[in-house]
Amino acid sequence: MLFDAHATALSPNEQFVLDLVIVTVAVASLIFTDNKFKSKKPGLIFTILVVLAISGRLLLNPIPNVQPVTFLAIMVGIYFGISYSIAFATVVTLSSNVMLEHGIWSNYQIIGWASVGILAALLRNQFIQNEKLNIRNLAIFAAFSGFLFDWIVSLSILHNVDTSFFLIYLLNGFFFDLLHAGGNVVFVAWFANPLSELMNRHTNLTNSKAVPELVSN
Amino acid sequence: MSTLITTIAVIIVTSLLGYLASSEQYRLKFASVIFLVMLLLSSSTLSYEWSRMTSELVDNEEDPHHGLPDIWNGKQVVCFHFPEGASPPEFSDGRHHIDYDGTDFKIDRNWDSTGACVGGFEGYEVGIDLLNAAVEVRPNLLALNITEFSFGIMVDSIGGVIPCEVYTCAEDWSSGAYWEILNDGAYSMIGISDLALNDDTVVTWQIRVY
Repeated sequence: MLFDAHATALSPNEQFVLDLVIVTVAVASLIFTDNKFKSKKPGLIFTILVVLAISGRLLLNPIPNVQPVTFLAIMVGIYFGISYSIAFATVVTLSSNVMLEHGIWSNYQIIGWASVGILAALLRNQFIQNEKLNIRNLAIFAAFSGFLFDWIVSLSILHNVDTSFFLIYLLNGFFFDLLHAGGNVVFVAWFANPLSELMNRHTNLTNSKAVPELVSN
Repeated sequence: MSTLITTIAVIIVTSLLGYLASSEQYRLKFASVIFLVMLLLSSSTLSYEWSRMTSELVDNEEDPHHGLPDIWNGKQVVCFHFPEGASPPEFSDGRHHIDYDGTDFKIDRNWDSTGACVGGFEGYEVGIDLLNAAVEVRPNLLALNITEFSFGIMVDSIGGVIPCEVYTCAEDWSSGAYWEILNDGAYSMIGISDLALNDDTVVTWQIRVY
């Protein structure tokens, strides 16, 4: 006897909640079991962050302008440095856009997320103080990054419209950008500390005088 | 405008309440979630109200939708163009754009006639129903005076403006003026009672002199 499992259809909301639960369980498992590893594995953590960013972006796609990539780009910038930020932005954008939509805006998205990561790397002394994450500073920067990223991506419309229209276009999208900023602050509030502990274990960048690049073991 | 301010105030107040009601450790967590959820729930209202405000700044002459605000793209609109000097005083400073809920959100002072466009309507299939809905938004300023015939209706005046009081009409009807209908910018050969509408039809009323 064959059971037609594919015939069971979930509504978009049911599927969304189910996906969210699965990803939450996966992230929680990662955070709670990772401390059993003795050695530092920055490459592994970086790869996991890339996968989380891609899957998170796809998963949260139904929610307008709320996704974890900007938050993760900031964390990669702080803990891995400039060159990893650029790699992160490129891989995440190109991979997720294969499933979302690829176009000229992909280049601006790469520049946007890379800029956020680079800025975070340069400002990391403001975010890590006394070897602890300063959540308030990080939340402010995350909110600002939401606007910064959206403004950089908005530059892509200059291929089609006059520059005089650009400011109006930005003004028109204010509440859309605010959603991005608000989403980033939620990610910082809930996930920055656990992710910071995880990343601390696998990178050498805990002292505040470190250069904004990952130091090899 | 008032809807926008009220919605923003509600979002800020509820977020603040969430912040103050929780213990210090969880303040940012709860306040940020409340803020985001409230913002998501009200995002369509906020975006629409915001678009109405910023539409005043957009003056795109190549607009395919008859120079109307972007928020009316894909929606049905009725425009009333009054002759210079004969417009109701409220509409004498340009072309007003009034949303279906009565909000007068944009005045196009560069438009070559005075009057009002009432828009944002959806689902109307016949011209007369759309016309009545538009008049209902400003019943005093856009009051209709009609004569019913067996073949349909004749609009005698809109907003108290009678064509033959503004222009000279010969007693033998060899010359005169009347309220004409433009359907998406083109002269309509079909009367308003029978005019079939599309999802984004723009019906314009203006006085034609012959």
